Amino acid sequence: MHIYFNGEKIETHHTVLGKLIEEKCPAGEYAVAVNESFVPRSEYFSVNLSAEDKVELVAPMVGG
Amino acid sequence: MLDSKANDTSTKDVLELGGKSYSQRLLIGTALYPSPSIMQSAISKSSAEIATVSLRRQQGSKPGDYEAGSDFWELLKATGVDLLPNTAGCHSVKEAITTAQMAREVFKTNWIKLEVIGNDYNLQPDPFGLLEASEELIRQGFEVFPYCTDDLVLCEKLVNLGCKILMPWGAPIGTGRGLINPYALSVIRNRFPELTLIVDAGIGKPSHAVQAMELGYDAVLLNTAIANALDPVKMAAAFRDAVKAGRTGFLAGAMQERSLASPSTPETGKPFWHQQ
Repeated sequence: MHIYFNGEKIETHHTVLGKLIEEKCPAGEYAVAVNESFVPRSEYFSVNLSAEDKVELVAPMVGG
Repeated sequence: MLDSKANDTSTKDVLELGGKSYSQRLLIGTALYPSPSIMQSAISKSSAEIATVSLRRQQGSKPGDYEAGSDFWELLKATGVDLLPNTAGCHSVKEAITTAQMAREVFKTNWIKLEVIGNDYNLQPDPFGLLEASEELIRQGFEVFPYCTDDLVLCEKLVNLGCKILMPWGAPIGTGRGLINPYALSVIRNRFPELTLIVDAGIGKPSHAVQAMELGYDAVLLNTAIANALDPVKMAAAFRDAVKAGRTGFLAGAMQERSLASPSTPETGKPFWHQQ
């Protein structure tokens, strides 16, 4: 199915958020939101993904 | 109340912020520096104990990409400063709340510099969104540092919601114009003498920081003024000294302005004077 990952439309066979995150293998500290709602790390494998879902994976960045 | 603060020399002059005490009253941003080493040196030279950070989409680190991801995180941790995450770029209440929640997990702090931007032209805070987001984040246990305008009514409403810190702008972000409405900032200071007030945004020169501190503000937060200076490290030192000078001047109690000249040298015994 198609979902959006950090604004980019991608094809994925994963239906569980945790599996998608594992595949992306992010380095360092990060956090995730699905459809603009924060998902705590402890719940990654409890959240199912549906077509057209918007997943955001963010990391520490410079800021003012 | 402000006079008593200026006259009170009985206690050490510390900045109480979010349950912690700090000796420095300059907060510094981490963006826009020419290089990672300059950022580190500027933070060190500024003596700032708190630095702002953000969260952005992780694109994956490339060599030299110090501004994001694990490289930046390691650089920042090495400075030893406390972190104040922001919700920069958020235009909606939902975006701001979600960003704050993500920041709490990543940075392991309940501090959040809350920005809900209402206008892309001058990056002005959306007062309505700011109030709504502040209320919800306070309910969720965040220590909210709301970036707001110098509107007294907005400030009163933020305080009524439970904000213990206000961060009114000096001028729009990145303009370097200084305090465009010192009267409004002064009114806010006098209205909330016991609240922690931090001028955030628009500062360009050390003299602007002096002015903010002379008004009795508790601290100043700035980024562009240091990062975009010709010599950011030297400018960081200048701002460190400016904030100290302004604070010391405020505590010393400045003289009252007069309409007419008043000589400082004694009139008595002045030569060449003859009674007519």
